[in-house]
Amino acid sequence: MNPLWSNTISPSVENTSKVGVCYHCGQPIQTIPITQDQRSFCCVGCETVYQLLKDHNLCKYYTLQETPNRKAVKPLPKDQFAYLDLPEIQDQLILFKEGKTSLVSFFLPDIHCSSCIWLLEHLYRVNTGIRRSVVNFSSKEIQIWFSPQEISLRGVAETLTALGYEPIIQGHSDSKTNDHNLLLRLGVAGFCFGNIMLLSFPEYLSLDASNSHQLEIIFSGLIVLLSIPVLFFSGWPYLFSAWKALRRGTITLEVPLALGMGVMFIRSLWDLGIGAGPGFMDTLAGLVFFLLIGRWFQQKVYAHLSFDRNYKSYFPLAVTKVIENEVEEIVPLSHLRIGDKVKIRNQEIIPADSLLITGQGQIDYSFVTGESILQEGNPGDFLYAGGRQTGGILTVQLVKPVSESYLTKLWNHETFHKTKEVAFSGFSAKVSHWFTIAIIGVAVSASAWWLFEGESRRALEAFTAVLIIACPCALALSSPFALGNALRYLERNRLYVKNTATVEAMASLSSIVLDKTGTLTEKHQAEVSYEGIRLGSEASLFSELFKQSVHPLSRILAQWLGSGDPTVVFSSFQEFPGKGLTGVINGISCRAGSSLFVRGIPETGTGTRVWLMAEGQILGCLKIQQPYRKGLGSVIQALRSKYKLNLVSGDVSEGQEGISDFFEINEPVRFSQSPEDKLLFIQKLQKKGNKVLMLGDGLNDAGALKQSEVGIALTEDSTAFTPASDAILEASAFQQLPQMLKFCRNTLQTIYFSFGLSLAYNITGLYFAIQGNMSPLFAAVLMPISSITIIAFTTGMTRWHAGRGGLR
Amino acid sequence: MSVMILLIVFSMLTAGVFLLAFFWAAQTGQFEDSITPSLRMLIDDSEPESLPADTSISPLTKTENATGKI
Repeated sequence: MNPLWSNTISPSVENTSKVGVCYHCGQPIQTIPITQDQRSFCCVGCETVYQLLKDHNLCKYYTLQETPNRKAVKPLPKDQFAYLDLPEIQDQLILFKEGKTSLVSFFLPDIHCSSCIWLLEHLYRVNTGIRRSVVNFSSKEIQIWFSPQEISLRGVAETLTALGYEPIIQGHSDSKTNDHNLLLRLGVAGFCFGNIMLLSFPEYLSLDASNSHQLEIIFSGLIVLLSIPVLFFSGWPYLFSAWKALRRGTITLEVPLALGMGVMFIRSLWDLGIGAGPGFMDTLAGLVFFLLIGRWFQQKVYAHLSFDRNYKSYFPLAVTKVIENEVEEIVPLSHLRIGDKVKIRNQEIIPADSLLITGQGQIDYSFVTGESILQEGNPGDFLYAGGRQTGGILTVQLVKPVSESYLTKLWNHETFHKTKEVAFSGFSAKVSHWFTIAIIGVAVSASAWWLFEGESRRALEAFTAVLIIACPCALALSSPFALGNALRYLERNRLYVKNTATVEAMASLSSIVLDKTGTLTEKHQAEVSYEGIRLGSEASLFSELFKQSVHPLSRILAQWLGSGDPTVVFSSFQEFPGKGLTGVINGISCRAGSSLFVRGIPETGTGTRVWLMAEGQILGCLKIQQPYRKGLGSVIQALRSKYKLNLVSGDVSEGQEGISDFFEINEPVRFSQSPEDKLLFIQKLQKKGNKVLMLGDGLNDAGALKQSEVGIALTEDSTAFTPASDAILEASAFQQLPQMLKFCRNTLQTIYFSFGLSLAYNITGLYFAIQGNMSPLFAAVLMPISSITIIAFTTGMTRWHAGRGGLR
Repeated sequence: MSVMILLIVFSMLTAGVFLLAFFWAAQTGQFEDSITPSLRMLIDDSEPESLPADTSISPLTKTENATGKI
């Protein structure tokens, strides 16, 4: 069910420290261990948390599970949460204030086991200002009641961070509330259905109640009383949407449903009133109960996922503005203007397009473009918004307002102001339209026939019976159950689909648009290739040279070049930030870095390249690329057989090697696409009548994901930030995408079949109804039988299709 | 037959109590998170709930000291 289950309580209760493994985080200790109470720790961060827990008598944390914390605690800047002191930010975050207590909710992605729950729910021991804390394990959220007089909001965030649970603070969290009322409506319908059936028992068993007329009246009265909430509370959503549809001049499936329900209620009132029979109240209650079960089954809430994030939930709430010289002020993002200078610390995000003034930029754009190789930035360089600085402090000057930056202006596009239309409603609406007309036609002609025969009472009975028996209960149940079941199968295979309408849309696609970097390529891996003179002993020299540098590229290259030769003698070493490295090793002068730095000429090739030079001779260059995903070839092959493929990439390079191996000549491959270009490209395809699936991963795909019929965001880690989309696919399940799409198409076929099946039931019922002598018992039996067969058929078929498609 | 009426009233009342219990459970959010409570109950709070002796020192300053050390 939940992948997190694998991490629940393990029976091993050990209090002793394992050798070579950090007592707190369980990571192998690479440097000299820090020892405390005969326990070793990998870093000061872990040791600090241990100390903190020990001081507050919370060491039980370690006995619940061995090495409960998975991540080493990284030291964080001291005033990281300083912006939480701003009243404007507090107003956004604090859920409510009551007397001396405030309530705040934080998202803590590091919650992963029962020890976490225990520790986080004992926060009151760490700080007395915290009154109470409650963890929601599945959504990885914590609600904290605290007293602002004793501890500030910032203090709460810092306490959590000090324990190794850094909160992710987002201003614009979307509300993920279940339909509370649905559950209540379902409960009421079930209650009334059961009781009405019980009170109808004498009728079912043909027991003669005539010896007690009084009892019969009481039973009828109770049935009527019980059916009022069924129709007007439980069945309200159907009545309401039928009325809304009629006002718009359309006929949806709710119209014949509401018509049937209304007729059932009135006819039964009449029958019970004049004592003509038991009425159809049991059928009515059963109908509403089954329909609500379908509705409940259809809705699926993924507690830890969010489908509606825009850039605002990725960007910080506030930044450090540099006013003059050393004076700094923390201001909310909305207060930033062009020309403002902003300080960006390690792990902070560049809020708007800006110029780098001071500092050495090593910027991670992986959430924006999918490119995980860090971008270098030197003073004077232009930096795009959305990058995350990894390294020293930067000062940047804004050249664009936050909402007008290259990336963020995308959200001003009209696409973001409309909601997606439900694709499938076309078929369903068409069916309901003709269905409604047909049953009204049958009802009218049946009653006309009986009127002609001179039996006016029978005419009325036939008319109502037709509308009751034709109430498309099974029809209305088939798609919630088929699609709801499909959602669950897709979830198990790590494709999290927002709602059932998206599954319908996924079945009727004609075209697929793919993003390249981060989508078709692995995000957190690098593939190195070398072009040039064959490296002999130089390989180990350069390996040693790269080992001297902590630059991420150097680490990748040192690893690729092999273990090196630890006996080499360095006579000099120098690192030029943003350019390269020089060193004299074993008397050989080595130089590695950018083309300009090594060769003196600007780079002409594509991608990230590092040139090597030894003794003034250029040896060649190392090319660092993100490798293509495993099985990409077969996935593309499988998709090609059914869909038109397109590739849009924000990359500049057209000669990107490898990609042409996967795509055929007639398949458009577009490079240098801005976020808006991607959106417009999708629009163009749609104008040609295509139904488009967009598969992307970064914020620069957000427009295309929104514009397309189905936007799927690919992510390596489902708790990480993903742009707004209709579905989230975990990268590990990428290879199964073609099977998943096929499964959606099969699910829709199942729905068509079950529509046919339920129509057959309706026609059988109609045969008896037009004769005007349908007994209520017949309806009470036919309705549940048809509903249950449809439920069994649709769930069984989706299960079969899932198994055939290799989905677990 | 009047015993029937009594029985029906009784059974409806009993069922009504369960319906109310369901309402209460749904309104207090007991159907929203079905995982955390199942994990929480596995941890027994057997050790004494007493706070450590040094509560006189504000725990917040302690936290700050701790992070300051890094």
